[in-house]
Amino acid sequence: MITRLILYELRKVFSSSFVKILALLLLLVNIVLCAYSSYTPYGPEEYVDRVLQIYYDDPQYFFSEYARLENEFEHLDPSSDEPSSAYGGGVYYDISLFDKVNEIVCADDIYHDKIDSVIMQVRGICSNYEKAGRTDNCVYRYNKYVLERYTYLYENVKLDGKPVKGWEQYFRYNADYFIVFILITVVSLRAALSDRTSGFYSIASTCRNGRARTAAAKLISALLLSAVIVVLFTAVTFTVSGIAAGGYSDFRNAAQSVYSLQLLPLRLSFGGALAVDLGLKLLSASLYCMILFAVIMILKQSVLSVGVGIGIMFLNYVAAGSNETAAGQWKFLNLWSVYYIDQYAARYRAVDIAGQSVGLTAVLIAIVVCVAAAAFIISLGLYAKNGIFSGIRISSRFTMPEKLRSMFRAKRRASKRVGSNSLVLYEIYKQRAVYIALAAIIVIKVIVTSDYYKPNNTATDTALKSYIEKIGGPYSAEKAAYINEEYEACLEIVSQFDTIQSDWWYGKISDEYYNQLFSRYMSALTDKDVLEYLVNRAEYLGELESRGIVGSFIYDTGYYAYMDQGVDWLLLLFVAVLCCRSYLYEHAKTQSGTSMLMVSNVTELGRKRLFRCKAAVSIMSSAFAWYAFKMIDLFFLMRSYEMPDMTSSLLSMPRYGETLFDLTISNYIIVTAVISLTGTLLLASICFCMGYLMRRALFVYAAATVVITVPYFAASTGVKAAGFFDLTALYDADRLYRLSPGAAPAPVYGICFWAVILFAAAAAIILSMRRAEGGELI
Amino acid sequence: MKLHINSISKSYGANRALSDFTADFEPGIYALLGPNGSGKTTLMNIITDNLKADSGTITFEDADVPVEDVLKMRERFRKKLGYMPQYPGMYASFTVNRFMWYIATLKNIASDLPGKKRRAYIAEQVESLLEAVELDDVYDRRIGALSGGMKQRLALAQALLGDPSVLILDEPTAGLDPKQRIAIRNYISKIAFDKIVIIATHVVSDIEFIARDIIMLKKGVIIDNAPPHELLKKIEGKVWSLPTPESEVADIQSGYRVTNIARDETRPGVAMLRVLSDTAPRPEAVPVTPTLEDYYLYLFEE
Repeated sequence: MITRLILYELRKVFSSSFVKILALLLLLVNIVLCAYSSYTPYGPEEYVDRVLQIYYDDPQYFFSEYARLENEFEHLDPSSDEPSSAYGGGVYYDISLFDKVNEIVCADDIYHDKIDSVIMQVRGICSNYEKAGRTDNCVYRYNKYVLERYTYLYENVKLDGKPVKGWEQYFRYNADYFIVFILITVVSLRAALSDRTSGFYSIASTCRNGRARTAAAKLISALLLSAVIVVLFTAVTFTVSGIAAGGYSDFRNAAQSVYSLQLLPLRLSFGGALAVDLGLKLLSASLYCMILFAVIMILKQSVLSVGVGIGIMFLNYVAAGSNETAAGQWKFLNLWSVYYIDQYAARYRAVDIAGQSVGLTAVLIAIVVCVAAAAFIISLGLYAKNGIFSGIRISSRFTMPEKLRSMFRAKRRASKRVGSNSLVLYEIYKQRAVYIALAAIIVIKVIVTSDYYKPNNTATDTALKSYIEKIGGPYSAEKAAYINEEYEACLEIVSQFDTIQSDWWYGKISDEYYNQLFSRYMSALTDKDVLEYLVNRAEYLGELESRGIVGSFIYDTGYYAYMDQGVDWLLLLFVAVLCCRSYLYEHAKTQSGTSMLMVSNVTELGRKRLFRCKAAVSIMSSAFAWYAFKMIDLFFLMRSYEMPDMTSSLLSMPRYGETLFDLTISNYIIVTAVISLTGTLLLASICFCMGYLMRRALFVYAAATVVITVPYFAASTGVKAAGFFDLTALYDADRLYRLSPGAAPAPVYGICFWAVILFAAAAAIILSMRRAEGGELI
Repeated sequence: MKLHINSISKSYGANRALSDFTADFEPGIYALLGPNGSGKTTLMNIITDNLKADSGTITFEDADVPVEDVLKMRERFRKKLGYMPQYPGMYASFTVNRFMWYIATLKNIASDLPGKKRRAYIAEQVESLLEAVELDDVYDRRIGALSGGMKQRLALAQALLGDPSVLILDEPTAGLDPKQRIAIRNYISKIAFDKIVIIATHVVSDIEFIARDIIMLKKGVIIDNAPPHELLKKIEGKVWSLPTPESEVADIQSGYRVTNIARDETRPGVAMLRVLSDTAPRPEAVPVTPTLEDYYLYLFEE
């Protein structure tokens, strides 16, 4: 019986054209991202193959030639000589090619050396603990296990010394986490809520199998679909990576041949690693599916559930980047790390539980079992109307209890029942929940920003500030000379310390004198880094001067803090929700009824005027939010940092050295602010139009999430083409402006990017306006 | 004032929802009568321009407007239109009063009046309409907290805002109790003398006494269009009252269209059947005065 119920649940999900279209779209996105990630049209493979052939023909000649190139490179004068490129065809240096081939042919030796160093290190740790008689603690037990495991690997793993093809690209690709999890979110929502949204639940719940068994069938079908999604996307990734790389090398070779898996604690071939990778993906996806399903059962509301699901995805992604010193190996117990074998299984991982070293896999399995049990209990309990839990009613409106409202009602009856004639005010009223959320978001923004812009009171920064106070302003040869002298003097102090210390040991100098010199030494150590930085800066500014550009010595710590804070996701979240919701509010309809838009469509102002009013409110609110966020940033920035002289040339900072325009810092800040505001408003326009055109909340929010996040994450994983669709780059305009290696010069890149985004926004606006005028809603 | 619908057709894929619908409307109440899927709502959506017809035109004329295509009139036609869809999705978080004011704003009511006078005018309209539909005591209640019948009355009230010349009402009495239905029916009848009111319904009793013309729709095609009394003439002598022993009721049902079975307590074991038939089903059958419901069943029951 339950099998049949599962089949019916699967059929309900597959009957949704939205699910099918989304799956297809995401599959295409994955293919494109994977292809770009794996395909290296100008890679050195062809030249590497030639050098490899030299090794195969005559290994002795290869090594002698390698030694010659190494010797040549060591004695190279970097200011005048360039390494030879006879084998590299003028494109790649010979030494790089020979290094690469050496890595391939000596892979086994390199691997064993690495394992040997791990074993030596661990053996040392174990020996220390044994000598101290402390063998009953977690650290000892962990290292003992590592010693046994890696000794086994040392003796049993052998790399074949052949080039690795395809596997590096496959294991390196990590852009599919969000894609797969977004699809699992939609599928789980559909599985969990289809009966409630269609109104069928009230009928099904009166049937014998309509509650607990149906709930179990829904959860199982969601898990099955999640597994299918993972397998499908993994297969596609494997295929595309292989095609892009020109095939795969022998799957029977040791997985440790791939650099990211060198410390893999299991003796696996590539085929085995692939199976383990798939298993981990299935585990991570199933865990997410179960947690989300339970959340959906609690919230019973699709938009909130999607929000929670996205939050879970992001939090796990962020957790994967947390500080390992603070979090230890626990940091790898997150959905993102578990999803990728080269993260989770990059080395043996264990955690301290009650003094025992427990392998991360055992902990993970225990978590999966607990989550599965909890998910089933919650889902079954909440799905049934009068089940174990009565369910938590989350209302999309936050309303006063009726008793409280009636107290105010008596007063209001006395006043005239006069309303407003302003469409703008009505639009603001409709979105009041979002504006209240904005207030909460601003509070979060204040907390986050105040933490981000904490004053940098490090000794290094203090030293930098004091030097800039002395030499700040336009570059001059005298300033450069001064810095060089200071640097030389500093280096001398540092180099003399050993002698001073020796003299003190042997009593040649007094304690007092030694303390003075020691203090100067410590100060010099701090100043050394700062002065090295300033010497490099002076060289850079000198080059600028030779090009006729006057750069300045500036204190740029605060400036970098401002420009490097990246994308403000809180702002984008507010803008996307507000603008998507503008017309979604009108499209919402009763189960068997019509939307409010069908009523307003028949009024004089209910089409064009209403459209313009909504658009204006959305755009103005987005602009206000942008302004508020910028003011918060500037407030905390000014509070904690000194800003550089705003009239200095932007080119004073090396990161802008390759850009073409010589702007002042103040002008550049204005330019980036204008781009950032425009980008925010373009995003607002696109989300607004999506809300009008696509009508259904799930479609709209899913599309907005994909449009905003997928290009960003794709671009950050190295898919350069994704940068042309990355709306967040407009908000983080500094990133857009700066030249990145391998990309077109900034103006060309910027123009192409703007053209794409503006075209998309304009098309969306024009299409929406025409439909609003035409009025056809069915 | 005249609304002329000329050869309107609409298909959804292979399904022909409306086929060459042609009708003229002048001030008065017109009923669109037909089963589910007959094309009533489709026609209403086309008149209100929520849906584009595949072919055909709709023109409007009155004292201010010479004959003109309503699609070209755009806002000018919508200014004269009041629309009540079936089960409209009104904003649950709005109060009744706020919602009426919002609709008044969208309809641009009294836009030629200066600020204060305009607001006073709208306030008066809103108050009188809410009173007419018996919602004046819940004016500050949220729409989400209203019963189904109250929402239906509110939907009617918003359609009447602005005193429209053309009123399109889709199932206006759905979900109302008998007293409310009579009240709404009478109200519509009272205001309809200078308006074109088109009511789509399959509840015959709503319109049989107030409609000047009834358009019978079946699968998108007009199968009859006449005043109620003329429709009734067509089945005069075809409606019978037949006393039947209980044991023979099933036999009668299998051979004839039985529209009602009543039990007579004064005659136990005997049922009074109301039968539709061109000839007397049995010698003891007695012809009775037909009703519009009989005609509806005569046309639509297979």
